[in-house]
Amino acid sequence: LKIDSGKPILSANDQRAMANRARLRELGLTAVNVLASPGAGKTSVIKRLLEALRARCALGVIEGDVAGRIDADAILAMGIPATQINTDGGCHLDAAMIEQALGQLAIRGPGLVFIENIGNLICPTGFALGESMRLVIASVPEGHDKPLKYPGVFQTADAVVLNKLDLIEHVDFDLDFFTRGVRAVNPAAPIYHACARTGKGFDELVAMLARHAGI
Amino acid sequence: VHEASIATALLQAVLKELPPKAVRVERIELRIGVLAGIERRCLAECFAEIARGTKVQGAVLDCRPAMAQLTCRQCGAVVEFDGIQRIEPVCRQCGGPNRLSGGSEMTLQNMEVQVED
Repeated sequence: LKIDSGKPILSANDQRAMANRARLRELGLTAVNVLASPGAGKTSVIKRLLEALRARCALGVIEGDVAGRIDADAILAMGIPATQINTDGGCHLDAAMIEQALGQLAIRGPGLVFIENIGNLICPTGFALGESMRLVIASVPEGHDKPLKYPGVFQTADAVVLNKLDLIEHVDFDLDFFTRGVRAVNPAAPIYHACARTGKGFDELVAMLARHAGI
Repeated sequence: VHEASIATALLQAVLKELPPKAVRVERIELRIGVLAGIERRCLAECFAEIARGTKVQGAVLDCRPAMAQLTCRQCGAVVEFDGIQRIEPVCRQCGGPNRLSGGSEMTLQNMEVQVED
């Protein structure tokens, strides 16, 4: 007997992600899925965004890491609600983990929840979490070829941040090549040039996020 | 290496579609986009392990690739992209900017199931 399906393999996760999105909307919250390789500066970018937005709305962070709670502790030290997910070796977050983390986070909107995914440019791509925006962070020391080498993740980005721009004089990074690479895989996503260390270049990104979250 | 998660999700999806009188699943056809980041052999190995002891044990995984496309935003020329060759950001015909689309799907297409009479 032949049975036709045609359903996405990850449809159970997709459904859970939709339920998360509905719950977030009820709470007046907008979730941003932050994706990047390890060391691109995900936590540093998030911390800059929290500083810029904390006076304007409710904020919370869900930190995903294979091990430890270094990142969640850093956010909590800022006085902002955070919860840590440890995947115990897992290379991505999924919607079920976010469902649980949302229960622990206990914040109400209007506001934003940043979900820092596991540092990885491949595995998290196919797993919807309930986010309404995907922010992909690339950093200058990684090299200008990353969008063309990891097209899948850049293809799904709603916005791209190029971080560590202060290092551009010290490494061979071709900004034009990077920009053309992002454009080839994703013509629509805005690219923000930023430096989380100095805080340079965050105004436009903050304004875009505030607009997106309606705050 | 997220193939173990994909294999687990696949087994759940297959079991959900099985009619009650199913005895054994013989073959499963999947469509895996070339940009989905799936290592097919790894997926097959994970799946064989995870399906052990279920009606799906021993089923053959038939993974068909789904190509991505590069479309020129200027002249509309379309080139298939297999996920391996170098992405050409620029159209070969006219030099216009290419746009990448498709290739991220992971779909359970159909399955061959042995049923009791």
